[in-house]
Amino acid sequence: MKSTPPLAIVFVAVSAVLISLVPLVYLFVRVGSAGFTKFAELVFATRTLELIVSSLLLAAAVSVSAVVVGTIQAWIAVRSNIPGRKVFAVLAALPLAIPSYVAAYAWIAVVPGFSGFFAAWLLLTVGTAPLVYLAVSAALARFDSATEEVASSLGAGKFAVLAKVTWPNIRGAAVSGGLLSALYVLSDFGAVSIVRYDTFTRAIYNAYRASFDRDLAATLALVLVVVTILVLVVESRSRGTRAIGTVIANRLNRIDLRGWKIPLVALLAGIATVSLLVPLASLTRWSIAGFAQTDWAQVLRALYNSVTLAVSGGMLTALFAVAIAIIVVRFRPKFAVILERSVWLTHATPGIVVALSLTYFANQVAPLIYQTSLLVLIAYLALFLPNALSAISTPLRQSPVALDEIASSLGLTKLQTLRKVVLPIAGPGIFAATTLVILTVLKELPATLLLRPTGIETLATRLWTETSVASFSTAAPYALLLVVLAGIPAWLLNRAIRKDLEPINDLERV
Amino acid sequence: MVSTLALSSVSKAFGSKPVLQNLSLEIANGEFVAVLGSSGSGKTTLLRLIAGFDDPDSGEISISGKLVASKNVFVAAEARKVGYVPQDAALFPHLSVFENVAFGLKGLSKAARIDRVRELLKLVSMESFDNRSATELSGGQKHRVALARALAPEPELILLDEPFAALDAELRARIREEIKQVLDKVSSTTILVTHDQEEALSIADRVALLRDGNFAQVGNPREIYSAPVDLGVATFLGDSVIVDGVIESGKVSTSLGQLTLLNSAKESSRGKVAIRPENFYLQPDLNGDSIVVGRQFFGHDAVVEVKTPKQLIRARSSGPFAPEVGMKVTVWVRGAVNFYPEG
Repeated sequence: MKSTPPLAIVFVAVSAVLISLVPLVYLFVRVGSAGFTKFAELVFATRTLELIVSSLLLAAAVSVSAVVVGTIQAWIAVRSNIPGRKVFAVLAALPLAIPSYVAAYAWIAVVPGFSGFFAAWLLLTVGTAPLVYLAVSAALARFDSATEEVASSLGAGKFAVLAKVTWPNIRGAAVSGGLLSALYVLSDFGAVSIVRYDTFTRAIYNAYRASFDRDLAATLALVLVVVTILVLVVESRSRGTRAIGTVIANRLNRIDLRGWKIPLVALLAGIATVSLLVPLASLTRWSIAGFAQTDWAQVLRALYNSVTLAVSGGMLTALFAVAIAIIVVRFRPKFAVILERSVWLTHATPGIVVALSLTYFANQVAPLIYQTSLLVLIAYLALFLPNALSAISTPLRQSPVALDEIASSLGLTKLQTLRKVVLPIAGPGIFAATTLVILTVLKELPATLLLRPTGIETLATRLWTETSVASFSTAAPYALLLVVLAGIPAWLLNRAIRKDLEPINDLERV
Repeated sequence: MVSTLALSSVSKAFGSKPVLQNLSLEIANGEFVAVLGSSGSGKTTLLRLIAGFDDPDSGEISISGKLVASKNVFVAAEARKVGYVPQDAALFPHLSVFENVAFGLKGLSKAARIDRVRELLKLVSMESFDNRSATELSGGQKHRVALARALAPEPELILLDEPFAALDAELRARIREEIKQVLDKVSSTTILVTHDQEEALSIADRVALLRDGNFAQVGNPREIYSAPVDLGVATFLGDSVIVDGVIESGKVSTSLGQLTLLNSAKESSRGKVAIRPENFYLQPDLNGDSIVVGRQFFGHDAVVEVKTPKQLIRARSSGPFAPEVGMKVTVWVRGAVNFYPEG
């Protein structure tokens, strides 16, 4: 179907992209209106520079340790003969089912005084190591281990083989995973706030709440966007240069770890303890402790609000994503690249920035939507359009172009072909992708927190409020519901459809 | 003279399943040996034991007189000086052709290194490809580079693990010939593992037929083809027509007539005879007792199905002169046959 796409679809797609770009564009407008002098003054203030250092320090530390942890987990799971490696393979990816702010709550509820750099580093390392693990284990599974045998037959020892053959082939995936981890850290709001480590996101929120200096919040947000864009650019470059071998038959020989088995099993068990056992034990403990006093009516109201917002936000986002995906995947007109790039750019706006910018926008430009659910939905669209687009592009790609040609040779118009051929074939995939977006929206914290209409509480905002006053047992049912209703189903669904997806889809917004 | 490779009573099991049992074989310097076996016969396991990717459960392996694997000794793959060319080449995808070939070169000056790689690339006719990425090559080119890479450190022995299996038939025959020439030129000692009888018979000085973890027969291609040790080997090496027979006055008497014996057998013993399709001669004969019931034409030759009074046989016949379906023929057996007594 290499021709011009139907106008109606172009209209929907372009509107979606324009709406999703509102937060980013308006941020520039807002900062610009404060004047350059004010901007420069704020950027070069000691406080801003401190935040740059503390955010980048955390992002660098977390991504390095996530690369180490995720790569070791992947190598052991795919290449070793360690007992129980299938279990460890699941355990390595499972932390993705626990939103980082839920993990932070769970830790702080059992370890009093769990705060600061170390706490943030530990939480985000185990929370983002799965991103590296998934990317590297996929690269290792594509890797032909016969090349390792050839290397040793050419005289290379075990460590030389790892350094000269295995690592160069997974380096791209590991670096890309590490940068995804850094992006996650830069945009994380909930976890760093709960463990009280000052990064951009926390400072932006506090500056906004303090409300005497809105220019500061906007400037910090802009600096964060610039930093994030830089990381994104490096990430897409690193993926571009990844060496991919055309492997005809890939044999995977498992390496006998001999004496290393016990220490490595202990290491994996230790990681699983930090990433899963402690948070889940804490959740269970506080749920039981607070069960009797739980205000179930309040829990149900929060659940209802969460589900309503998530379903409408998720479906709206998916609908727009389908329109964009149809144009980008099925028609590929010249402007498709602009659409793709624009959507990609919204990756650079963390949830807290989207929320902040939209409050300004609603205040100044569209007071009618201020304090309405519509504003929350726009935030969701801006935040989750990239994820929805790549998840939906995959099934749309699977319907063979030859079928479109047959359909048009039988006299169907382009719209009819889409409706009768392309969408039915891609239907199940689109449904799965939509469900995944809904589940991801369900876990969203910062935008919901800032933009929700007064009186509307969701699971995430209730957890946030109760945790900030240290009533851990009141918070427990919300945390548990977030893991059980959103985290685990999203994880399972993602696992089921991930085969076809790029690792970037595992980047979750917090 | 010391054998380049000596296997003595080598056994290997995976779990409770024996894969190789008491294998012994000696390979002389410069010899080209094909290990022929169907899938699951243990041939890849054997190669891995020789290369040092696995260790045998019992027995000994020596390379040029040096013990590399036994009960108490295990020399790691990197110290064995055994070149290895796996199926579909397995070039390092992150390295160029030049870097692939240079990978195993040690202790050479930069200039000597460049010279050596150039020389090897020239040997395999790939000298203009040194800067290419390994992923840009065609199937046949990959194999030539993989061979140059394996030859670079001047190994004692080269192992080829079904290296042509992934190529299409025409390319396979050509690459096989090219690689054979290269190996002859450098007088390499080579072991080829394959499941393809034609490949083994056409390329090797000696063929070792591996069956259920044992060498069923080892010998030069001609003798292994014309004098298989048993019916199983005979049928594995090529199509055979199996006929009952009994030894009578030094000849074997069958439904296809009195046939000359290739091996010796006890008088009046009963058994079976294996006859290759090309050993039949179909004489058109209006009074013949056999009739042609089918014909597959291949151009240079044809396989003709003939119904004799006792059984259906398949005979190979020169293409243009193959008898037509429906013709009456008399079936003759040319040359001597192998007799396998029962029990």
